[in-house]
Amino acid sequence: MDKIKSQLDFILPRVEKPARYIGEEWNIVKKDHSKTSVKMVLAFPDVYEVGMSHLGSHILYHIVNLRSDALLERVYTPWGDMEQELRRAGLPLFSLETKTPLFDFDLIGFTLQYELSYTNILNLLALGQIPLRAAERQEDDPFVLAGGPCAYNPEPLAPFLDLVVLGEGEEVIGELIAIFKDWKQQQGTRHEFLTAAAKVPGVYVPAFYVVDYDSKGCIKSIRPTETGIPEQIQKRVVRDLDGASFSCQPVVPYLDTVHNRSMLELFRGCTRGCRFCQAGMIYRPVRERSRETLLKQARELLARTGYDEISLSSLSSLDYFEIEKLIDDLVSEHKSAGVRISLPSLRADSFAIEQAEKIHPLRRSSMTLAPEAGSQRLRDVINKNVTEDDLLTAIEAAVAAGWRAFKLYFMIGLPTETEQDVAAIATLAQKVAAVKADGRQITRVTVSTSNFVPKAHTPFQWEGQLPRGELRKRQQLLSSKIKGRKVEHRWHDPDQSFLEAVFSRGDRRLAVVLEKAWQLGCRLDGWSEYFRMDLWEQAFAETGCDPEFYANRAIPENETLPWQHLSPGLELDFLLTERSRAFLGLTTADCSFKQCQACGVCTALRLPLKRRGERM
Amino acid sequence: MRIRAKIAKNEILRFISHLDFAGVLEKAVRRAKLPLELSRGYTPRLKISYASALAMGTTSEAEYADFYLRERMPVTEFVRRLNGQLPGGIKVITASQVAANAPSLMAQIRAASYWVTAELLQSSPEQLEQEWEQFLQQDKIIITKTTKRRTRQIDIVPLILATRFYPGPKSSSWDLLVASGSAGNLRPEELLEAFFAHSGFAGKIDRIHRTGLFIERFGQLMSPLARLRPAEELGEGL
Repeated sequence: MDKIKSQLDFILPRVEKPARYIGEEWNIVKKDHSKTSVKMVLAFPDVYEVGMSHLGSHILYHIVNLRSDALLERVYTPWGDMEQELRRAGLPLFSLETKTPLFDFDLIGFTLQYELSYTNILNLLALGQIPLRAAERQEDDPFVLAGGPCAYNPEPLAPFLDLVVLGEGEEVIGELIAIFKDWKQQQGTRHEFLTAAAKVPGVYVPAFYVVDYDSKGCIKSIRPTETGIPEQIQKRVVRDLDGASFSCQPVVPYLDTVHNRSMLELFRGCTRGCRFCQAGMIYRPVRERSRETLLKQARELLARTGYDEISLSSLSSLDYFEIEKLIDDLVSEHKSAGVRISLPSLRADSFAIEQAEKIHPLRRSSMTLAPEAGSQRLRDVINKNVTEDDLLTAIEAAVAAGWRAFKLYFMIGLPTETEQDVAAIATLAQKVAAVKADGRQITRVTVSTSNFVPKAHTPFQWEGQLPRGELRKRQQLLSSKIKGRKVEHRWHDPDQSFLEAVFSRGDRRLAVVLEKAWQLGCRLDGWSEYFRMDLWEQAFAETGCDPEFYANRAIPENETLPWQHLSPGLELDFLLTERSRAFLGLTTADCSFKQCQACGVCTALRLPLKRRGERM
Repeated sequence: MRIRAKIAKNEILRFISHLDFAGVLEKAVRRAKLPLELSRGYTPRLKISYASALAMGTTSEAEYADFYLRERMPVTEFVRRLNGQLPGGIKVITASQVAANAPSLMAQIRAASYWVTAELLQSSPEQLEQEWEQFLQQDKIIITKTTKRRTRQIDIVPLILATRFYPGPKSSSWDLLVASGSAGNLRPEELLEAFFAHSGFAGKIDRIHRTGLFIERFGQLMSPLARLRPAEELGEGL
């Protein structure tokens, strides 16, 4: 610890953005390790600026550190220069709070937010001097835990993880701490701890399951290897969000981070039902906080952080049942102190513009909207219930209110997409660029296109991703159709999207590829300055793995999926129905406003069916 | 009301940038609920103005900032409340009211003093002392300054205001007073690098600490907190 502190004086002047590694932020919690029974560290598989913008990490940090028997510290992925300095100095990666090496903790938790951060997990373990594979870890080594959205298919990481938590972690973490304390007192074996942990609802121990494959390489079965281990693990959710603990004193970074503002969580879940969207499927059902609670939390957040901005951070925040009143109250309470309110994303409708207008009375820089597809036909396929009229009316209202620049998000390669659908994006963008209102014009339209990635537990989980060459061709086709100085096209790298698809639908056989790629030097793959497709190709070739099997193959509906034993509570029938409705071009209504669509989540979690605004 | 504060930036917080340092003060002001004026414009900001940016990695006991308050308050209370919300490593050392119409801090700064220590292994203290004297006796000392846009050659002799050298067998120290501000600016590392280049010694700077910032009045360098009018005229009366 002291060695690390003294070495930092030499190392930090040599790296870019040393504030990433110093800790000492406002609201940091430092505890005495010798007086705390359970020592945990949250390892974020991306750089500090990204990790500090993750709301879930702040919530867990708060919940664990409130306890007297446990502590939770933080570590983020070092940038390449810092990794080099650590290796040169022979220093282990350490926590920001007490500069404790990772290997000295009892539990290391990773949040799986993005498939291209997987090599960072191996790198964090290696730099923390912890054996990579769960099977190699000894009694003194930490347990490695993972959660987050990608934990609904953690299979490519299975051999590296001791435990996986499905769903919301705030209750599970306490249960695991209790089990750990008992286990430590009884001086049990690692196996004994895992057996006890596997009995906690929502906890998945990959080592307790075996996967069999058929001659074609498809999965035949996934079975528990021990008695008393469930065949399927059901996710956990917090039933009463209004009463749930929320951090009103999050750690405040020195550096300018991705979301450098206080975050207010209005609700969890989104039932709009966009068929490509994993978040919309796995975070169900919708649970809202009351306006009184939110106003109180906003007040406390601002007082304890000193931020001058508060962001309404939920999926589709404007769906909150009392959004108008909430925004009015927030504006009237905090405006005089110069506090701004921000919305991360907007639905393309007039109501959204009205709210945005209230929030940004002066600053009218750029507005971001996400129509996702260019033609009405394709928007119906993906269940994005926004019409061209909605969009153009909304934009007209925004132009009248003073906005000049717009950013439009679309996806290329969605199921059933044709060249006409791609061309329709360009047409729509031109129409947007031509909108005029009250004599004002638009100065800039940025069309930003990502590539469709099929995700586990969505109605599109069976669809193959278009081959990379085809994705590139369609992106280029769109570029060629976009005309005029006002409209600009930016697109995601199809190679990165391909890799994302490989891992999002991957199974345990990808673990060797991941390890190989990491050995070859792959890391920070989500960052274009580090992404090396050539090394990934080499890793696939050397391990004899065909990545197209995972990314591009249409999976038959009756095939066993790698994530079949992990359940966010959705009925298979619901996903299949949504899939066939997609191909028929039929949209499905949002159950939080209209009738129940029988997705199965409320039943599986034994929660009452309710609409927005109805109390639990 | 305008309060000028002298602030220290020490320990590990030397690794935050000037922009981040400003962020720390702004957030502390908000947490302390101090009644600062807000700037007009698209994004209202707290009215705080700074004397000069400190290089990342440099510690200081002489950062200055002017806080513009919309309500009067005792300076001691201002300092106490602000310090209560500042992280370890950043602290207001002293503060005093200045006239509302005084020129901006940044425009007034003329000089800065630093305490610098460096490792210079190759030579005896006597020889080092001699080399330092020779270095300073040159008519011109030309260094190359590189900014984002261009590179230019400048003579730093007029920018070296006073120096004292404390050579040691392993580690040597300097007490430096150099020009700082828009009229001419010399960074301590530029001066020492020029010395290393001139003497041929391989040197490694261990630590740079800013000990003072100065404004000019009546041809004299003095502290930005030097009072030029009676306290009661400012309405302070404390």
